[in-house]
Amino acid sequence: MSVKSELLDDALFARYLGQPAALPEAARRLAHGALGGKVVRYALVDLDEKLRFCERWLVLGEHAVAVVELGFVSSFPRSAVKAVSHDAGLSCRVLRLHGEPGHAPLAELRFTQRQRRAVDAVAFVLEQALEGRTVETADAERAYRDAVFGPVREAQALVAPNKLAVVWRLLSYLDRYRARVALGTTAAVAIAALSMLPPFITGRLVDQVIGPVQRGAAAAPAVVRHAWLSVFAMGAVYVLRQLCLWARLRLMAELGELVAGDLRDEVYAHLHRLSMSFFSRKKTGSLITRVSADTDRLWEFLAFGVVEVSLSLVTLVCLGAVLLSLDPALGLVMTAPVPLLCFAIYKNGQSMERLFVRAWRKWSLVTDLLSDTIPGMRVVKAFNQEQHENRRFAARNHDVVGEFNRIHAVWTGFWPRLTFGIQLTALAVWAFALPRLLGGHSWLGAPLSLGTFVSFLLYSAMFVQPIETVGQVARILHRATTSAHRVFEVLDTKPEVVDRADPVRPGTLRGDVEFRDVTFSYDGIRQVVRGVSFHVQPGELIGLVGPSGGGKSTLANLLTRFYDVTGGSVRVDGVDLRDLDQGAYRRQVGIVLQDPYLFHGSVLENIRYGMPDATLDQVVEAARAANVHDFVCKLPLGYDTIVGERGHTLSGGERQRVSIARAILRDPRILILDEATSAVDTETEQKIQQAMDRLVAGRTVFAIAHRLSTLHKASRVFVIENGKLVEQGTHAELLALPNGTYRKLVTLQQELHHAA
Amino acid sequence: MPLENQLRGLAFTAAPSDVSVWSDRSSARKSTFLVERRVDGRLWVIDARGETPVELVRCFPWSAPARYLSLRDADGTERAFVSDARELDGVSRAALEGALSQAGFVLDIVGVSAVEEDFELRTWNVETDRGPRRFQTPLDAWPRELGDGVWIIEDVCGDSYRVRDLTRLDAKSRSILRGFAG
Repeated sequence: MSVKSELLDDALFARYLGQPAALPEAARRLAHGALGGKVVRYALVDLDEKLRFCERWLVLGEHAVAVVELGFVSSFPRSAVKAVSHDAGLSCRVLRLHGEPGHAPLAELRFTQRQRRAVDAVAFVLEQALEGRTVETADAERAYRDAVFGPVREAQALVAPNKLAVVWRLLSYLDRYRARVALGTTAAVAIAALSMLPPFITGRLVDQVIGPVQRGAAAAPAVVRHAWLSVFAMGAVYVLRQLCLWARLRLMAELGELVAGDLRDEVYAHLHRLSMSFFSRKKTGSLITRVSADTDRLWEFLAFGVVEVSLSLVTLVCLGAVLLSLDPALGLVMTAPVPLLCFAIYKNGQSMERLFVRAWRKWSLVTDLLSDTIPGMRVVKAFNQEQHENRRFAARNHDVVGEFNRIHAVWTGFWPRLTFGIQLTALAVWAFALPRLLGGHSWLGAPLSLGTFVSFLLYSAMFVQPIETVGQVARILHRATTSAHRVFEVLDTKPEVVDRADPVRPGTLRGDVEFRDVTFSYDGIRQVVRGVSFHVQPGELIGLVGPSGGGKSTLANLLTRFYDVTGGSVRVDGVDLRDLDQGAYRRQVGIVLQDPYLFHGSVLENIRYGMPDATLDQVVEAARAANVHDFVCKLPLGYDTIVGERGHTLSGGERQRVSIARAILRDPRILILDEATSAVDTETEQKIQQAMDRLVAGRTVFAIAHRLSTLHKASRVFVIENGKLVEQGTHAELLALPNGTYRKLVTLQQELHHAA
Repeated sequence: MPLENQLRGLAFTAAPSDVSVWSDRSSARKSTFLVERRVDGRLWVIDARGETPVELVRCFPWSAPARYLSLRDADGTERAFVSDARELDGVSRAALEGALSQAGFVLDIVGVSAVEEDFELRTWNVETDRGPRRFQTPLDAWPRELGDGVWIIEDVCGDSYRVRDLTRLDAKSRSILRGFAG
């Protein structure tokens, strides 16, 4: 571990958790002495007997266990631990390491949930040792940090150093469109500069034409040409300015769209590279928003935010410069309050933010209720709870109205005050200017020409909009960085299952599958597959049975390489799965899931999903084999009928058969079947069974089986319990085992069947 | 026995209100089992089937913290069920009270110094009855209202933090919490 990442870890621990990022040096020295060797695992124990905070360390060595606190250490040999027990509570958990039965525990440790994963990791090593197994325990430091920081990291996969870094990264996406950005920026600057001209021209017109003519100091015809020229010049400036405005709007809007599109492509493509574990961690809804709403928000920022903000800043600076050079004293009166006004808007935004959090929370209560009751309408009606639901909704709705009205009260109060502030500045300009306009020299300065004053008034009107924008910079940046961060978080997640540099590209697989002492853990602590070994010949049909949560689906996940094994290896045709090209391998693996997923599209597209260039003949053939053909012919548009989430509704059995057809068409060498547990009527069952029989012929099949009929046909049955392969053999062989798990399962199922 | 004293002390110091709310139901049924806190630190159920170390599971940790207790062995099988501790003898009841105060332990928030929003996470800096603490919740998760001004905040690690009475917090804490509770 490099010094730099250690520093980062320390900083993160301090920032998020406020607890040591590693075993402190003093405690480590004490533990070393007591353990007589290296530290294998350790955890912070943060509650004492009276449930007060404390800093105690549970340290596991190779042969001993130590508990260290404030310079004191107690220890005992690992062999003394005869049992481990846990108590769960709301925020207090207890771990007891027991010695001889009937004696006080060797250690009784209380800790908050925050320390749970680290403490469990220590307990797990001891528990496994009691069962005669050893656990891989490399890198105690990493294990502790991952265990404690894990929950934070899961909520926020990418820990961003700061918001500015995120903005820079977002802006780096503009690199590809440099020419466009340059043009857009030039146009924007041109707009700011051109905007300065009309008031200036107007001022000159007043001073050099209108004033002298009205006073009779100049002859009208002589200056008329000059006057009209000025008007034409102003016209030209306006036209030019609108042209620039058009160019800027169009360029930047398109630019934003291009960048947002790039991001969407990149995120979506990256999602497909990510491993299944990522999708089990993140909510589908949140991922959808990242690709859609968040990129949309970035468009807004890139297209308008960036330009708007920089343009406003430029405008403010230009205005300030022009005003100060026109008339320093009056310019100062006009510009001095500007920072103050910006700050007022910023402060107001902040207090609005707080109100908004509250309103959003109340609003989410309303939408939660909607998304809860509308899909659950049948239940509401069946239990006659319409009145109750109405009351619940009315109460929450009332709350929301109240909150939003509070927000309206704040902003409606703020804007008039702000506008008044700006008008006060204008009044101040009048107050300072009047004596000079009327009375020649005064202590306020030299006489002021009418034209300069008119220019001033026109300029002052231009202050309003940039002030508003600059005041909202914080909010604009906040919105954009939040969205950008959510997008980058996905982009920065690395797939856990990756091909090695030069993977083996398999030809047609034979379908020989071997598990060699496979262990697997989803979280790195609890093993869900523990030392499973078996060898399956090509063409065998293996029934996987056992209680739910026993590890059957996990075995399937390992075989498809949705996850990589933690220990041991999975070999197909003698090659380690990790050495195979994922894509080439998966092309030959088929899965029929318990609740088959059909995409929105025609039946044809769904059957052809795994093999888009299959001919219609092949499709019909596969559909016939899967008993799909007959029911599809009854659909209004046959194979062209739209099915899936928003399409024609197929029954569970029909969907199952479509997914079987999909698998038959793809002709996989290795097939994983997850049988539906739900009961279907006998005829449907028979049709599915026929389809299955045709599907499994000539392939290596792993069937997570619930039906006895599948088990009869299986060449072998594997009983998976508690992550272990506890029994294997043919249906008859396993039935013959006097106290076998399989025998019990079958008897139970038969009893159920008879009862029904 | 020192351990027992220690436990008694514990029951007394930690959240006494949780253990004192026994039900007002008067039918004191005679139970068919005993509960003991043994020297090994565990709860044991002694009944006709023998003696088993058990773990206390509260069926309603918030709605009825001190009632409806399920005592389960290492395999998760229910060995005894206590709907009202008054059904039990004094020793069993005392043993359960000790275990209850520990199972119901949460950190009580007595003040809030800051709530900061970060990407995806909200970081709370609070003062609890046990000292200062910093914890995180997901941005889209809100404190849960239990009624009577009691609010519960559960952090990403699964620890629960309780505001016993929102209206009794100091003005600054209340103003910070305004967005999140109430």
